[in-house]
Amino acid sequence: MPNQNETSNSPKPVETNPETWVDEYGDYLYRYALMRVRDPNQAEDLVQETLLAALKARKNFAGQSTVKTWLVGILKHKIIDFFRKNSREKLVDPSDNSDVELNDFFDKNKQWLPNAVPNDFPNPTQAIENEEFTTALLSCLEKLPPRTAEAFSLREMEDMSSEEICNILDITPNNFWVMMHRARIALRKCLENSWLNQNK
Amino acid sequence: MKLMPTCNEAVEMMSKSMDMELTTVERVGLKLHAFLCIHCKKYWDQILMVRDAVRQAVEKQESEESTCSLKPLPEQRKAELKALINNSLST
Ligand SMILES: [Zn+2]
Repeated sequence: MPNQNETSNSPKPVETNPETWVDEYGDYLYRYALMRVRDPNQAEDLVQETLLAALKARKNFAGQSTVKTWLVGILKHKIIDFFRKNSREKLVDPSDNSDVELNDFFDKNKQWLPNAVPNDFPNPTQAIENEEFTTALLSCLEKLPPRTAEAFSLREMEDMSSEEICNILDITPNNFWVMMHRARIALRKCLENSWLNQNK
Repeated sequence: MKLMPTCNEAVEMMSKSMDMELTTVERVGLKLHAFLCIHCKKYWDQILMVRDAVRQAVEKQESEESTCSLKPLPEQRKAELKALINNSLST
């Protein structure tokens, strides 16, 4: 059995050099965080926390995934912790008047108000190609109340279940679907405005 | 109990149906409303389109096909992070 030694089960430890992390993965991790938390300072801090946590845990990195996948996995946890902390601290900005007013959309008879009726908007495929969509999306999310935007990110970007999100944000299922409804009705309107204006 | 929901109720149910199961009554009422009301039908198509667009944008960013027009990590912060890492490697 000449091949037995070559098919040894113990995997070679994969070395990753932390000195190269910032140059190799810094921009990627930062954009990943920025897309989900939107605040540049917060995104920078999350990248720092991620790299420091990775530094401590690098002995555990077994090379079963790429370094990038491993780092993104840590970052995801940091983002969820950040959202969780926000909701535990009931972080509410007193100057925040951004709540979605559903009366702006429907009249007393619960019919669409004339200026709220959905207009056609262009198929987003072109906008995604042109990268216009992400810019418009992030600025529209910025106009939502922070926790509503967080719920939307977890649901639509992280594809988490409503149960998981209720747990992270410390809200009831009823809160959750009302938030998501508000997020969608406001985002649709905001995207309609930004696309229609851009493509006039 | 009425079967036909209002526009307001219909759009609530549309969103709800994207995150959880509707009851049979809700599902039938929603289908009926969307069949009869062009505004709500358009709304439904568009929020589904937005869901799809968000997923595509996320995939695009994750696959590094594009930067999605997002700025890179500022140079100053990069320098700070490198110093921080080198520091803790040398101790
Ligand atoms: Zn309707």
